[in-house]
Amino acid sequence: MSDVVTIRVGSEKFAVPVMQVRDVLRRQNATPVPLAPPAVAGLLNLRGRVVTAIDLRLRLGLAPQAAEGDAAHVVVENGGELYALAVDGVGDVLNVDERRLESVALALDARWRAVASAVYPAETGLIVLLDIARLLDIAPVRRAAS
Amino acid sequence: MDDLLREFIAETNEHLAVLERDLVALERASDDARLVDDIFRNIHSIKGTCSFLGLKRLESVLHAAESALDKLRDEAMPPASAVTGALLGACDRAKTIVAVLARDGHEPDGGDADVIARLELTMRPSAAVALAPALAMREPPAAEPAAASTIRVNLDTVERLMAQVSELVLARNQLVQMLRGQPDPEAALALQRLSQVTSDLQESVMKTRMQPIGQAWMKLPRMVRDLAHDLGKKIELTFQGGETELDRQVLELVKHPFTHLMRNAADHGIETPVQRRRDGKAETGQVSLSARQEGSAIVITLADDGRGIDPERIRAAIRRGGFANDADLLAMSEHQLLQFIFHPGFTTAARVTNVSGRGVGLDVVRSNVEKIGGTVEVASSVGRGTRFTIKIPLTLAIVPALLLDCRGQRFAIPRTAVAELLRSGPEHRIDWIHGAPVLRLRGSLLPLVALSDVLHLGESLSAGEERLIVIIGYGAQRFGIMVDGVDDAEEIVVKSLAPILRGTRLFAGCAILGDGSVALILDPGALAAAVGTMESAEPARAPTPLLELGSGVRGDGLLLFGAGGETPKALRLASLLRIEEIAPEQIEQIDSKPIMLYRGAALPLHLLGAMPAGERRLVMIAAHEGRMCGFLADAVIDTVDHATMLDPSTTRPGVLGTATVAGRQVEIVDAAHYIRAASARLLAPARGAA
Repeated sequence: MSDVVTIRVGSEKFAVPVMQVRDVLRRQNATPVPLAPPAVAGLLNLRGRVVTAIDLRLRLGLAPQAAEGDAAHVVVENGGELYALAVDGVGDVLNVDERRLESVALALDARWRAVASAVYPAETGLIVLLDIARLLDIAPVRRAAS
Repeated sequence: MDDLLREFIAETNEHLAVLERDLVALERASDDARLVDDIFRNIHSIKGTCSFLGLKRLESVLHAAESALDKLRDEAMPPASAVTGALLGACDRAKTIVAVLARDGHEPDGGDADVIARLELTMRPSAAVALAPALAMREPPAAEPAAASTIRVNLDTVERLMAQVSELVLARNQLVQMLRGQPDPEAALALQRLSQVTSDLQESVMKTRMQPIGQAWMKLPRMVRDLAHDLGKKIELTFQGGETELDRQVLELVKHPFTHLMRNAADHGIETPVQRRRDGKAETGQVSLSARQEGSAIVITLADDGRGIDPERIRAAIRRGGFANDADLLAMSEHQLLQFIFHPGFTTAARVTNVSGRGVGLDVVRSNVEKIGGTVEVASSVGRGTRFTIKIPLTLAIVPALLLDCRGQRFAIPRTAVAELLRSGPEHRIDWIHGAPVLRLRGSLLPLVALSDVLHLGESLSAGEERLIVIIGYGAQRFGIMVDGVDDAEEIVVKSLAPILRGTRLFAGCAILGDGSVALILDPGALAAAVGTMESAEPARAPTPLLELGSGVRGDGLLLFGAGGETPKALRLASLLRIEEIAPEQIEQIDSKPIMLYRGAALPLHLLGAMPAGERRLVMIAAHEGRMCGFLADAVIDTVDHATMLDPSTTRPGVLGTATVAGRQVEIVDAAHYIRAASARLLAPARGAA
């Protein structure tokens, strides 16, 4: 049994392990980083710590869209660094019965398979469980033109 | 007494206390090999520092103790009580010496033959037991060292303190920003007080992190001694300025570069005694390491009087390694060639030795130093030696920075990298050479780059636009970056970027500004690379190209320059190879004609008017059909993109004609004529002697 936080990106539902979530904040403007990979939204100041914001829509290959009222940043930790996942909404904490988890190969779009650890059939529909480490394994950035 | 010695005494007292405890334990558990190892290591580490500090008595006592222990380790001889006894005797003597050292600042007079003899006796198994009691200590063990004025604090505590102070500085900055223009005098006063205390606290905490740089050098004498022994060389190592203090964090980061450069000096730099005698040098090679503070930076030089770096070998190695093509090689100054030793994978060593020559290292040295905002420069003279100059910041924790505006976004740049700020205009005009902007500033041309271009932030600059220019000094390299605005200066706390953002290399990190926003910190080194001329030079020692045109430049632009006389001269940019700045004494005479040494060959020089005055001369180096010559000039006036019509009636030998350029008459020099004429009297092959 493990707990996950459900998040909404566009109309899709995902979830991230509760153990890795450090904070949830209202969406705020990030300082853009020139020449960074497209999925990097920028840098945020989280109480004196610098957090790298990731645009989950872009990362998951969904159409970009302006932030709405429910938009939030879910701050997760990976390898000692903090990252803020920009999401369109944050839902409940769900207690996942691991015996009911299904393989990602079963139902998933190919581009999500690489960043998902499993699929969970909740009462409200299928939820894709994201693997934070793989989600943040973003292709190297462009080199500065010389 | 200097800090280095004080530190040594504190440390040694601790080591000796542990040593005493371990020796007593050894006496009881004589077959404990690990304990013997511990003791050995302990003695060894004190001894290593002794030789560095020149403490001869202490060193000899500890050396004898080490030898005795060595015997014990190798032959697994059971440590008779005489051995531990003799060792304890040595330990007591060491304590006595250290106590005097702490009081007087130097070792006491006298010898330690008694203690050493006793230790040596233990190494002769038969004699050990019998003789032990016969030698009594003449000096009583020293009293306990006086209460220390220092305490040892866990590094984590110091680091945490530093982080907290950094945050306090940020909070203070934020408050200052919020209360700016606040009419309440009481609040202003309180803020001023808070501000002062914060600054003082910051300075005090910073001080706790400072350590003498000599600490990073302590292991070097032993290393060099061993290297000299292995390589059959004689090397004398001298230190200067070891008491210069710098931040612990910086110190840790430069330890490796020191070791590496020292190893290089011993292996590649210093020749064998036979070779040195043949070259008329003293058999013993000199390697010197010195440090001094210059403002908020520490300058460290490592110099040897060895064989120097042969540009020809570098050229050959560049070719072998495919680092540059022949055309590029041709256009390179000796100084540029030297820079290749910092390229990854570059080696001139024909064979790989145990010590160095694997082509790894100097690039690591440079990247280590640059990572902390420092620079490394190398100067070398064949047969005379090599000198590395490392410049590193005193501290990394809090950096004064300037905030620049580019397309509505703020970026920070370390204040130390900014040489000056200016606005382009009639006085400082932006010129265009082959589509690249350059700035004419006090007679020299500086490469320019628009920050928005480097960062891919949208539309480029168009000609004629007035721009704010930040002149960056990076090592000996100077260039300008064009920005949209310059905001405040602010002290920033450098934070590192997440790994996925490090690949851009343009940013040294990021910082939280007083208003709570995050700004990226520009890396001056990366900007220098973006400007494209990784050229650094030490004036007077090596020619400084002011303008690098490279070979194979096409175009009909003109470079206008003053060369004595009233009429300015002009050279076609297509024939101009580069512009060098030289000192008058670099101009030599052959057959009463001026020449200068350039890439190991004589380069004929031409005077187009009177000999230019001043401390620095400019040489315009032109090439024609693979041969070169130089024209002496006193100032670069201008560059123009298109040549105007020549007046054919003004053509004469050496002058293509007179033209009206930018409203004035100039004489366009026929470089080919001079080069052909010079070939007759002196051949200056464009290709080096190789």
